[in-house]
This record gives sequence, structure tokens and C-alpha cells, in this order.
Amino acid sequence: MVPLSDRDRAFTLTGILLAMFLAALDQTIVATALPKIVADLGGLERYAWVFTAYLVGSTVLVPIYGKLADMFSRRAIELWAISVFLAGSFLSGLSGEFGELPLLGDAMNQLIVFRALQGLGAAGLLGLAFIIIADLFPPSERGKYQGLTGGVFGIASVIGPLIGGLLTDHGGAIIPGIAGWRWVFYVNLPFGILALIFVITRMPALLPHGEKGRLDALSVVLLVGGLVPLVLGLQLDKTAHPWGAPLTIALLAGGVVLTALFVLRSLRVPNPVLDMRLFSNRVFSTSNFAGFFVGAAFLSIVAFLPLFMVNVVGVSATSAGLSLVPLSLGVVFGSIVSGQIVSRVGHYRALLLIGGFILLVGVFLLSRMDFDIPFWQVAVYMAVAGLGLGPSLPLLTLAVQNAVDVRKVGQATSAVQFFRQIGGLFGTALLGTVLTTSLLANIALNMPAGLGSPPAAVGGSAAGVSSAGTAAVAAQVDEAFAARYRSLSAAIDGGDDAALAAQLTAMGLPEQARAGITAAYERAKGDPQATAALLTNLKSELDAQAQTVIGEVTLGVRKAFASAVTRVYFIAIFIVLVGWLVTWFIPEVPLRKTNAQATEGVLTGGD
Amino acid sequence: MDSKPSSSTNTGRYLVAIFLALIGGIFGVAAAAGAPSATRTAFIVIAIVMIAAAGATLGAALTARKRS
Repeated sequence: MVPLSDRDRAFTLTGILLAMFLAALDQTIVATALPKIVADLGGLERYAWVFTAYLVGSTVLVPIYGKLADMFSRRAIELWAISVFLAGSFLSGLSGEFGELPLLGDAMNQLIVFRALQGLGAAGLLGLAFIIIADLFPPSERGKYQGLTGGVFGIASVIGPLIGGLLTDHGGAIIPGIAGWRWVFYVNLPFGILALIFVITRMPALLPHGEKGRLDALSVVLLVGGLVPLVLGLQLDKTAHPWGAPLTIALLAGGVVLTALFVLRSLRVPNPVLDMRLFSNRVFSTSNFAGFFVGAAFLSIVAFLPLFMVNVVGVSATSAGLSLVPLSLGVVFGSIVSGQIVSRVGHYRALLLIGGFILLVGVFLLSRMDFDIPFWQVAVYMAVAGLGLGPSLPLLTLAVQNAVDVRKVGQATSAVQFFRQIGGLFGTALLGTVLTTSLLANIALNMPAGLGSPPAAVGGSAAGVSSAGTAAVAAQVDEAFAARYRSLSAAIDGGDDAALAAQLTAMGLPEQARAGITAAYERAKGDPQATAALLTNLKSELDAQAQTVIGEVTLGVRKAFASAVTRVYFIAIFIVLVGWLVTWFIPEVPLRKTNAQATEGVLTGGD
Repeated sequence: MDSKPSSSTNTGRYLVAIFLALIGGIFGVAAAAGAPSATRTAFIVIAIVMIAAAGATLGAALTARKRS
């Protein structure tokens, strides 16, 4: 254990948790700022890359940071990661301020490149927090601090959209002339610099435990070359590039081939990025398996619940982030409490199994939600799921750190982080596709009878409805009826019999209703007062009809969303179940009381 | 950590086989629960490919084990 005063340890911990919070926050904070960013910078067709660039950077480099942390001073690596992250944040905020730039191009291109830079720093911050805690505290005490880390990660992942929305809407008032959305990036600067100060002034150098040698450059190239297409293949918009599309297949297949070559290379060189022999350790291999599936469940819950809250429960888009607070509280409570318990009892396996079971119950409950479910009930369900997710965040890391050679704690810890992130990408890609296809089928099924295909009838498509949501559909219906009134009114005012007949036919009214309107029109011809009265009657009749159709269509869309999201959670049950079954195979290794070299028996995990 | 490379390579084969089978199974569940569509067909194909790859990897692991 590092000889360090409690005060220095507290400051170091605060610094790394703060930096990790910012990195996790930036995964989701941009979501609510994007409409304003696109309005300001243009480049709508490239906006998805603002997320993807960060995600690729923050995922691909995780294993490399872990290896570097095993080879060099962890403080130096942390300082480097914070600095890169801050530079990326500052430059992202500045995007477009100086017009087009050589090499970088227009404002949106600049933002994408700087977000990638931010991601390259974030990769270090996410993994290093767990690694540095391993240096500061022995495994027997580490649980409660890893619990804090899990809690911080859980909060940051969930409240990102809320903070992003607040800064975008009100950030413009901080310094006049600087758009609110730019504060989504600038906000990292004061907190990041504070973290930097804590790390520089309070953190020990934390020199490596003896992992020497030169990093194998080819395995770095193969790893990055394999992971970039793999992440891009998973991240592609599956409505534009389905799983069977040539681009998706090429990216995924290319990624798998290069990753396989990375594995083969790693087996043959003395100093690879990730020592493949770690997989012979049963704690390491089973924890990473479980982490992959828990990561898939975690990101899927976070990604799809806001859709349900907005389109089924009826919360506004801006408060959708706030509505996930019960999930966040569940994760934080589960993470911190499980960390405290494991530090007292010294066993992690039972807590992981209990957490997995609670998560299973939570996801099962989420899969049973109906379209008329009240908010409080969804809140309870998501809190249960959060409570189950909480223990997995710190305890899988703790189990791995406790079981591997201390010289390889960096790469082992970053592997846990990496598998969780890749699992999240896999889960959201798979379940996102299920959501889209289910939604399209369910919207057609749930539209009111007699309207044929109402989304098309109101000027949109089923795909448009699925992405626009209930509020937009209601607005479309309203506009369609307003347009009908304008056409009828023009025909009646202009005395155009043929146009009126065509409009009435186009409206699909019953013969009797058409005859009634035509008769009233004939009677009112040449009488301005009677014509005005007819138009008023028609307007109120169409308004009433519009309200009825809006009610039926929005109910149909709510039912369709409820059915599609619950189907996604039904599949998520299997993902969680697999993760939970794998957890049963994680061996219980007694938590070490010191950070001294682990014994050989521990290293091989009783394999 | 001093286990022989051949042993860890074979452990890796088992792990890859299990992983592929699990992922294939999840694609299979997603296909079974999904609405009929081109995506469903793609999921079924991916599930079959994954499970076949898992079988082949497991076969290779068992052959290597017999040889050793």
C-alpha cells in the first residue's frame, strides 16, 4: 500500500473521481445540446459522428491506457489523460469560432475531430480511476472506494442529458456572446483543472510494480485497427445500414479478423497490450464475461427508458433525463452499499449474485410495463433495476484486481472497463434494431380502424412516427385537419363545386355526410352570412374530428412504443440471465489485506 | 501466470467457443422475439454463424486437448 496521509489520499481520490465523472458525463451530455449545435454549426448529416467520435476514442484506447499504467507512473498517465481531455473539451467548445480551418474543414468537422480528442483523454480517465484506487487501498478496504467510483459513474451516465439541456438553454447567460451549447464543453474546464491540481499536488507518482520492457507496437496497431471498425460497425444507424448491409458486414468482419490477429500476436510477444495468459485466470475470464453482459443491460436500460418515459408515460423531452433519477439513485445506492458490505465481510461473490438477481427482477418488471402504467410504478421498476446494476460496477473490478498479479492490475482493470463498454455497444446495437423493427410493426397494428395507415394519411411514414414520437404525430394530425379546412374553405369561398366535391371525396367521408355538406353549401351559395356560418360549422366539426383522431392515433403510438420497449426488455432478460449465470462461475478468492504480490494460487484463480 | 502457452491457448479456445455460443444464443432469442422482417432473417443467420463458429472452436479445443 502506498504510504500516504489520509488527507492526501482523500484529495487524490476526489481528483480522480472528478475527472472520471467528467469523462462519463461527456458520453451523454451532448445529446440534448445537439439540436442547438446543428442549428449553429450546420452539418446535420454528420451530427451522429459527434457521439461516435467520442465513443470510438473512449473505448478503443482503454486497454492501451491500462497497459501504459502498468509500465509508467500512474500519476503521469492520469495527468496526460486529463490534459488531453481538457484540450479536447476546450477545442470542442471553440468549434467554428474561427470559421473554416485548414485540414479540419468546417465547424462540424472541427467538432467531430475535437470530440475524438476528448474521447482519447476520456478513455484514460474512465479506467485509471479504478486502477489508481487499487494502488491507494488494499483489496480488503478497496470495495467501499470502488463503490464510490461505481456510484459516480452511474450518476454521470444518467444525468448527462439533464445537465446538457440546462447548459444549452441557460448557459448563454454565463458570458454574453458565448452560445449556451458551448458550455456543455467549457464546463469541463474549471472542474478538470481542479482535478488536475489535486492530482499534481496530492497524488504520489505510483510507479509500476515491475512490468518492464517495450510495448509491442504491432499489437497496438492491430488492436486499434480491429476495434475502430468493430465499434463503428456496432454504432452505425441500423435503419440506414442494417446488420446484413455490406458496410456493416465489412466493418464487423474486418474488426473481428484484426482483433483475432491481435490475439494471436499477443500470444507470441513478450510484452503485449493485454497479456492473454490473464484469461487462464478464472476470476478474470468469468468477471469479464459477466461484465460484458451487465454492460449490455446497463446501457440498454439507460438508452431505452427515456423513449418510454417521453412517448408512453408522457413526460416532456427536456425532463426525460430527470425522470431517470430513480434509476440513478438505485445504481448509486447499490454500488456504494455493496462496496461497504464487501469491505466488512470480505466476500464479493454472494453480493454479485444477489445484485444480478435483483437486476433480473428489475428487467423482468420493466418488460411487463403496459401503455397506461403510472410514472411512480416505472420509477419503482427502474430503481429496482438500478439497485441490481449497482454492485456489478465496483465488485467485478475488485474481484479481478484481487485475483491478478499486481504487476498486471492496470491491464486487468482496463479489460473489465473495456468489456463493459463493448458489451454496452453490443446491447444497444442489437436491442436498438429490435426496437425499430418492433415499433414499425406495432404502429401499423395499433392505428385506429378506418384510417388505413394513419401515419401516411397524416403526411408521415411509420418510420417517421417511430423517430418523431407522440407529440410530433399529434402535431401532424392537427396540421392535416387544418389543411383540409383550408382547402374546403377555399373551395366554398370561391364557389368551386368541382373542387368541393373532390375535397369531400378525398376526406373519405360517408356518402350521407358528403350529401349533407353539399346541400348546406348549395343553400348558402350567394349568401355571405350563411357561407360564414357553414364554414364555422365545418371548422368546429373538423376540430372535433381532429381531437378524436389525435386521441386515437396518440393512443396507438403509445401502445406501439410500450409494446416495442417492453419487447426490448424481454430480450434484455436473457442478456441479464446469461450474465447472472456466468457470475455463478466466478470463484470466491479471499480479499488480500495488502497490495503485496499475490500468490501463484490466487493468480491462476484455482484453474 | 506461468502456465504453458499451449494450455492458455486452449483455455482461450474454450472461452471463445462459449462466448460465441452465448452471443449466438442472444441473437437467436432476439430473432425469436422479433417481428417478421429482414432484420429477423439477418439475426437468424448471425445466430447460426455464431453457433457454428462456436462448435468449430470447441471442436478445435477438444482435438488439441486429446493431442496433448
